[in-house]
Amino acid sequence: MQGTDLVSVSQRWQARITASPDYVIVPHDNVFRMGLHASAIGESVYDRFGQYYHELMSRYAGVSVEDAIPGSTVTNEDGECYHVQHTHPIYVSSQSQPDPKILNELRLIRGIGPKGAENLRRRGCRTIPELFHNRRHQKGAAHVLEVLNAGPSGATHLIRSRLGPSHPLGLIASEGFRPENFRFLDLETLGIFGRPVILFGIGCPGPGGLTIHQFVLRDITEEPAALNAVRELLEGADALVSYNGRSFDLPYLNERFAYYGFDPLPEIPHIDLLHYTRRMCKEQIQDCRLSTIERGFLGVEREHDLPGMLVPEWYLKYRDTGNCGPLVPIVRHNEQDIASLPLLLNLLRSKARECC
Amino acid sequence: MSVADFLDLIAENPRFSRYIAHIRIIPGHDSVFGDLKVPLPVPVEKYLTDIGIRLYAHQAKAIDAVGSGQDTILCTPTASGKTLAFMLPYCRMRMQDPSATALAIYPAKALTRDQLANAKAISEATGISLNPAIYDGDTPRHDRPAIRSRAGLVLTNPHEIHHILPWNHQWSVFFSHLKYIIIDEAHQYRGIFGSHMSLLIRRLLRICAHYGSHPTFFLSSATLANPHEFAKELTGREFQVIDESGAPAGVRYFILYNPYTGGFAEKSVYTESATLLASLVETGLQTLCFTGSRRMTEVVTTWARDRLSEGGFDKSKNIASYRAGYLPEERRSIEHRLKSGELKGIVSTNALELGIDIGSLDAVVMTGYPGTMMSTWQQTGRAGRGAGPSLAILVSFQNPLDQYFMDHPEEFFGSSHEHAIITTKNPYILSGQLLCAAAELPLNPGTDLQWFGSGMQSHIDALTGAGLLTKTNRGFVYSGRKRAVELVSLSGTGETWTIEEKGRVLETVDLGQACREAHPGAVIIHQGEKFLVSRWDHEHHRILADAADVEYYTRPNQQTTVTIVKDSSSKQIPGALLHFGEVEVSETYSGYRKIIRQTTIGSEPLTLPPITFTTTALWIVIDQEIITKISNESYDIPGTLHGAEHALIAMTPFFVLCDRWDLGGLSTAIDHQTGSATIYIYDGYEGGVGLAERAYELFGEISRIAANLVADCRCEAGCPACIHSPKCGNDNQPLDKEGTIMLLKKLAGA
Repeated sequence: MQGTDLVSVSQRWQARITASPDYVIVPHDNVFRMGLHASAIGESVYDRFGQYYHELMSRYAGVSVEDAIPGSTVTNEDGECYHVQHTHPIYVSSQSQPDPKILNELRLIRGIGPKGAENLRRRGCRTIPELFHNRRHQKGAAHVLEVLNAGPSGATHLIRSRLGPSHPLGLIASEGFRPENFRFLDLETLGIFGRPVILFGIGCPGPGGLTIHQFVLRDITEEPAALNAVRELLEGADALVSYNGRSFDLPYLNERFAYYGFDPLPEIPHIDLLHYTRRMCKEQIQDCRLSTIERGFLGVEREHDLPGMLVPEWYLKYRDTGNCGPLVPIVRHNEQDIASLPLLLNLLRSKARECC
Repeated sequence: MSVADFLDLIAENPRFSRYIAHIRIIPGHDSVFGDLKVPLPVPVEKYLTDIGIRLYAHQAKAIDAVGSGQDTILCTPTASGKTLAFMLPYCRMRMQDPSATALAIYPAKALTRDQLANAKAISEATGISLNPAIYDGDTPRHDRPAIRSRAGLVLTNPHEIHHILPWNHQWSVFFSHLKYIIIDEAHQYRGIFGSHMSLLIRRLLRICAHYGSHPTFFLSSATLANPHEFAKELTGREFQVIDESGAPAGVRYFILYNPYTGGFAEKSVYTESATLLASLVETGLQTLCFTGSRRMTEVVTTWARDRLSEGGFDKSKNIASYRAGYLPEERRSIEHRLKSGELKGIVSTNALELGIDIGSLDAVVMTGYPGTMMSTWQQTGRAGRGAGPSLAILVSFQNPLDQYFMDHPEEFFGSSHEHAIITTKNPYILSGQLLCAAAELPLNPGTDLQWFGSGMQSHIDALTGAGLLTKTNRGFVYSGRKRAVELVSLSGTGETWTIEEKGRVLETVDLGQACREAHPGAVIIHQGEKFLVSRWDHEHHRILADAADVEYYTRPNQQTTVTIVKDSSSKQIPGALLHFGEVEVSETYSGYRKIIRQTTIGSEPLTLPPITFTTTALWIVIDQEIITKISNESYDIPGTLHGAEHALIAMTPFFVLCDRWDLGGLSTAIDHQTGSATIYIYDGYEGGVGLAERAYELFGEISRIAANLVADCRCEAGCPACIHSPKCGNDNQPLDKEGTIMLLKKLAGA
């Protein structure tokens, strides 16, 4: 079929994409109907952002990405990408000594469940070292102590596998990591799966505060180079910190490495704050969105914060029009997400110390 | 009573004998066993001995071929042990390499359940761990990771593979050890679905190559005229064809039964089927009767029961109906009662055709030609226990093909002439499949040519221009906002519409079909039930219909124009120049008629936009000399061309596996593009699926049987058995039967 107009064939796919948005607009912000869709957006919010979009388009008409979002071009073996960097006076709280309360958690030993722990405690066995005198558990106790003493990496893994991903002890054990070796991770993507990442955000704590590195794709072409740059920042890190990164950001990132045929990232301990937030704050807030947590606990109020479900559409508007107006709030949104992660980590850690 | 006795009985009874058009006795044959070149491992041999199985020749041949890494297609009848032929080489492979994996693809979910049980049984009996598992839409989420990383044999369907491939990273262990790909019922993959399937298989092979594996194919299919070509088109590989069955077969009596012997039917096809069924049951022969629809299944069951009660015997309980949609326990109860012999008759839709195990019966009654010889033989194969005799009766409809077979049994019982057609070149299908491929691994225009062909580059350019692909130094990557596999449906090309009744989806159709068959006011028949279309929801591409008990049916009034886009090839045939190429078809639906028993009782206007699409077509430019002859005989030229168009379209499915509805036609006495009388026959699918191309190649044969059909029809001036078309947009006007015969004979070179 050489006679077919292939351009029109291609455009038909594009039309089909346009006809199916990533979200549902709920008329009159009807609360009941908002609850029906996972990706509902209230009519008023939608309208507000429609207006904001036009403001941005006229404000940034003719402005280059480099002027609107100052940064520098990075070149590596996979080509060029664009790097934006800001440092904020945000610090990760640190404790010189790990909390001895970890040693009270008998359930860390294989073979001891909630009931067993209760029985042992009633019989006067309160800490793991005390189990050295228990014939049945002395081996297990020795193993757990060895793991705990070897460092936070093994300790957090042990706690996660024995007590689950949301147990506050995991946060306490994470205090053993050196703050400057944390990497705070947040991605902006074109969808839920199988599409490019358009912005990689990585926060690195340091003596001068939190340095946020952002690799923004000026065009999808830059994705391989950006992945390469991201790898450099992540390799050698002690632990990743994210919000829902265990289910979303990290698998997404790994899939993109595999997609391009790159080597996989090394396994790095991962602290997903969403799990802890759900467990420790759920009763006090209506949902577990990061922006809700910020407002309720961190005292951060975002102005014109772009709803996540609009990100793919706005990025493509930037790409198709060449006007970087819609790109600016995406970059800002991501920067704010990363800036909130250390604050949330500090908050959750102090709550963990209170409740354990 | 035996099958032969029954035959004597109805041959002597004038109530039946006058409708018998032909009786054919197909001799049986004994088992032909075979020996393996490379013996099977001891536990496998022991298993076969324990269950008393000796390999048939075709099984041995297939096991040797697959075992040596030769891609193989096995075209033998149902119940000839195709599953075993695949399982055994896989058992051997797993013994040698416990990490070897295999992927089995079935067209229907129900089939995977049966096969899982088979694989588990073999695994248990031989002690070889096959680790079989089903992975499809019903697999619980929490079971999935373990299946991906540990399963040996994964049973699934094409739709699931379409959705798995983007997640190939999670399947890397499975894909890197993939040794076999089994495609069961491969003949199901033809037309649009088959063309998608062939490119889906290219995507799968590309992923395998990425993970370093080169799996061997094992295909099974019903009998085709072109198994080698078909398997090659479907997978891109060279195949060994094994089509001689060594399984034993008893003598088979086949009756062609024509209620339309006198040109019209005194009793309906359904009455006749019910009567035959009742007579068979009465004589104690276990019989399966196939009907085309659910409703007819119920009707035939009721009539057959009534007939039995009239006879005074209370055997009416011995007949049951069986259709898709029954609960598993109802189904099992029917299966059990059949096997125990309590049930003597069963009436079924074609649901039973797909490998569901009810054992074998004495006789099969087919209500109407099932549409393809392939289905005919599959349905026929339901009768016959081992080497015992069996009976098949085909009760014919008034359709051209049905009637043609009644008059030409030699064609019916001849060797297979049906070609399964797919194409990897439909631009709409290829474009969508390339998008999906790009979302799985970046597309490389150099190395990926081997999978997607030389047409790939221009698609990549167009898709890149539309922003759906982006060039990186690692290849072209998918950069659309929606998931690629969600945009692309394996069953269509363009936009799809769903026909819904109270929120239940009845069918999915493309826009062309929707305008033709489901316009507002149309009566649609779904599985034998009637529905009236109330309105179109343009925004969500939904067509809303309500169940309706109306007497009439509807036909749209259609105007078609065909514009030649590209004249690719042409050849001289008797009396005409035959062309093949690309055309732009524009179909306008201006209104529709309500019809009861072929009488129009009213017509309504329609306001629908015209449907325009490019597709492939053949066109016949008739020599002026022939036209002059026709006109000298004072035949009507437009009526002659129109009649020939209908007959040619009606007979194409004889050679090409498709439905007459898959082809469109147009004839003009003076065509401004060719300057002469012209008949166009085009592929009804956007972009074409290879139907017109094959019809161009086989035109001599098609025109020959079309000429016979019309010449042999006993009607006066055209009827539904010859030149009337049920889909004609001009109410079958004008038609000239005598002129049609003359023209078709000229074209056939007679």
